Amino acid sequence: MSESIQELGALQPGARVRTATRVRPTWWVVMANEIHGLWVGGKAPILLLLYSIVLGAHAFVTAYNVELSLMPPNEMVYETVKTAISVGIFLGMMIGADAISGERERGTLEALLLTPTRRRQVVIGKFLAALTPWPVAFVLTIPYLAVLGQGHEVLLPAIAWGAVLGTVLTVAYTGTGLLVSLWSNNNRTSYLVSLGIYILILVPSQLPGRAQTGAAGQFLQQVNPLAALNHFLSKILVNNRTFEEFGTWLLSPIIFATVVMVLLVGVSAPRLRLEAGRLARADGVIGRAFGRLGGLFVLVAALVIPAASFASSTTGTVAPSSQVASDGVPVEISVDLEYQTVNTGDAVFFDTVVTNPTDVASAPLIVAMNIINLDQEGDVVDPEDWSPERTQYVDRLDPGQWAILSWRVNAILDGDYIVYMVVMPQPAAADATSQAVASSGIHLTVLPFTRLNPGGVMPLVLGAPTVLAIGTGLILSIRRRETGGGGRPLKYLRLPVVLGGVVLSLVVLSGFAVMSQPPSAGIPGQSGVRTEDDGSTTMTVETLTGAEDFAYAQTAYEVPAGAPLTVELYNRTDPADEIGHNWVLVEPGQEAAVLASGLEAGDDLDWLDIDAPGMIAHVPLIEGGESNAVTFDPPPPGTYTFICTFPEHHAGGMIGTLTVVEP
Amino acid sequence: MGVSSLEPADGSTFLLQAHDLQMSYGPRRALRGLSFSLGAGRILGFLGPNGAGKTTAIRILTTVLEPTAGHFEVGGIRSDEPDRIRGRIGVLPENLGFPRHMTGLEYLTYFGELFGLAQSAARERAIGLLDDVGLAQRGTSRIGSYSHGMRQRLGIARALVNEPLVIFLDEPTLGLDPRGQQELLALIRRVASERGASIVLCSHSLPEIEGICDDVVILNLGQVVAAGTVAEVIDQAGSEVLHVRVDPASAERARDALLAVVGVADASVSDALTGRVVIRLGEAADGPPDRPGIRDAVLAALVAAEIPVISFGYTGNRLQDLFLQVTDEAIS
Repeated sequence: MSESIQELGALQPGARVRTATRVRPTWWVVMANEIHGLWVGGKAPILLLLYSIVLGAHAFVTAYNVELSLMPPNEMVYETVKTAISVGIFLGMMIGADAISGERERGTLEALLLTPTRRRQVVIGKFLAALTPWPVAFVLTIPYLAVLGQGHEVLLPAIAWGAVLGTVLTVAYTGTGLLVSLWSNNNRTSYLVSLGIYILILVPSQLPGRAQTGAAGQFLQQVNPLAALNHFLSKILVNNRTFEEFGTWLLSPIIFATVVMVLLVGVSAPRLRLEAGRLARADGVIGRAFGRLGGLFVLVAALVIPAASFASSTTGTVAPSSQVASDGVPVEISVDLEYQTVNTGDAVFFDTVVTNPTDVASAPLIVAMNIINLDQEGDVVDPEDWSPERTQYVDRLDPGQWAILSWRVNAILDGDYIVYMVVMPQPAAADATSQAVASSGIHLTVLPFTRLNPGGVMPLVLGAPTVLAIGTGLILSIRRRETGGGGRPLKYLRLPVVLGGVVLSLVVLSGFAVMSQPPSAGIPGQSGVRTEDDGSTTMTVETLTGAEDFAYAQTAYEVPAGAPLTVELYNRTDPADEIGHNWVLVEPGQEAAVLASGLEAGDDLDWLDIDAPGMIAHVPLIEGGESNAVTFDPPPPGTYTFICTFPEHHAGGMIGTLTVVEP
Repeated sequence: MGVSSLEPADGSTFLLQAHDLQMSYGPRRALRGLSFSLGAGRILGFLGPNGAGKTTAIRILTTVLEPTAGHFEVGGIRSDEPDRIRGRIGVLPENLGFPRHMTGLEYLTYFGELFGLAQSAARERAIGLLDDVGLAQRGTSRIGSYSHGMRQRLGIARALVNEPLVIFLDEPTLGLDPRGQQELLALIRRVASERGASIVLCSHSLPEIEGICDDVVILNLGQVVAAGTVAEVIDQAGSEVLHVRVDPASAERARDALLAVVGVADASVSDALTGRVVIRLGEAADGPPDRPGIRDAVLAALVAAEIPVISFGYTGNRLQDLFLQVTDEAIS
């Protein structure tokens, strides 16, 4: 036996002497043990693997779906942070829900309760351990944000707010799961009740904006911690609003977290018992009722809450009053967006609030949108093209009542615009008029089209789960080899080494993902341009592959002046789709003229008048799978636009810039 | 039979004293006044049919449940200080679960730390305990790979991690094969003798209790129906019975020879085919009968009559006789 004692003793390096006399506090001991179980036991890595698959699927759909890819980068970043938080809090909640009732079920709780430890410390240790997957999950999210953000300035605020607010909600949800677990005799009850609470909160937060208008609707949204947090994030990340304006929306998540912590640590933790407690034990009837509560919760969540939310959506704007003013009641209108920079093809969303601040009811109201091009040289805007719904109607508003209306603007052309809203009471009669009230303007800067190549997210979508799967497999197999019995134990695998390895591979992966992002993501630069041995310049232009992707893969080029320039055009569309593209470089301001002359030239001349005065050079129209080239002397230094003159391709975003610089 | 006293033979102090412990679950009274005392270094058998209140009693005595009424003391500490009591007792609960992903060494080290040891001290003690219970070779294996017997031994090691004054073992041999049972009982006996700790052993197996325990408490329907040293309790069963098996051909002759022995109240052939004879020893008029003397006389009479003896002894379970008797009485 003494041999085996030595063998066991040898596992522990002598350097441990330093800590020999220090007794670690109970919560720390419990936490360390739980973390070890979570991570080395394989549960947390497997959950994170699932998490990365969900996030990858979300990122892939966001980037690949033609409709969704019209989202501006900041909105994609917001959606991703939202998804990360929704999934992250679910992981925490499920781990919390297992913490106590799982031990009851497996018969391991009694041994724990037989130690002279403080119940509260046991619960705190378990709670802290259950929080650990969240930071790792969020670190895992950062590469996705980086790729989808396409270098947008929203990235850093998104990471900061996501980390802080996700942590607040993870605390609240994990605590809730643990609370439920404390009062459940088995995991079935615990998981069901937790899932019910999760859905109860999640479902209303996912409802479309229109369903949440009205006083009651907005109240529900503000009270619902997840919905309020999402609202705050969307205002900050998408609509350029400030913390000062929307900080109050964070009250409900913070109150939620605080109440849960007080209930958990202050009230329930000291009452940790072997059996779930009087509630579940005292009487068989109550016990069974508690068990069924879970199923009830799910039902209620699935049926009542959405219905209630929809029903409440109208309450803000109904109830006509008998005391109706004839006309001229001054109503107020405001918008929740001051300015936004988007790309051609992106959609802009905002809400208007129409308020009746007077003490008499208003007449029925009409709200209309108008869009003005700030560049007097630019095209006149046809607002009907820009918005699917330019006018909305509101019932009469009672004194103090308000209505929220949601709007969408499609950024069709690049340029500098202002969008404003007017509200106008319905005139009382044929011989009456009424006074319009305008909102402040939304300054819209529309940049030339850029598009995220969905291929850019693929390394991440496939790579992250793969790395995690390998990491998980490694942890489990090393653990198995180490503890399989019989065999000679390997050197002890330390948790920090495992975690460090995971983080390191993530950093490497995210670097790889960012680097592998194609230059198509609108980053101007020298890519796509090479200098030949004879001093001439060659630039490669490729189109996107989809039949409805009217875009060049790279939209910004920079070439030196003074050397002959060869432009190679590759039409990457499928020949079966019969999509023709050309490449036409035009003088500044001559875009419209060249396009118009091309239309006039018609199909027979491949939609291009080669004698158009504003044209500098062109690669003729080619079909999918073909390539062609043109060589010419670049124009003087400056920025020029190149376009495709095939009808509607330019309007669809087939446009780019060529900057000629002094060599 | 409310209160009984188990006076330690050597006059040492009681390590465990229970005073009128009661427990009700709603209208159901699981325990109706349990009182007993346990001296240092003694092994107490805790007996009773299913539902008698054994596990409830153990959970109360191990501070996992709070009694509805009554109190108890462990090493002089009253039950209203459960944290201090937990530091002085070791428990192997019935159907204890183990975290399958941990190794035996990690498990014991963890509990050592929960009992307030520094990490390195906890680890040292864990290594020592693994050796004590014969798991030194498997200390770094996952508990998931342990057999049932190994887990029970690990459970006993866990109960010893705080060097307790009193150790509670609830059905430790349940589900073990005969060899596993023997090994575990040997381990328990060794623990009692080497550590001087008192042990409360809950079991269904009466031979097990009879073989290993010094004292016994029999519970039925939440009440104590018999208590005392094992010998005392067995004597409550009334007259002693001997079982003899002889050559079947000589069974009748053996009965006649035995009836002639002084102190034998009755003898009869219980099974002529196998030659079994049952002998009931009588009560001596003055004081307790000299039973070893009578047993010698019985054997001598058979030898003198030249009857071939195949087996001789207490073939029945004497404790079992009593157990069935007292629990039947209580039920009827």
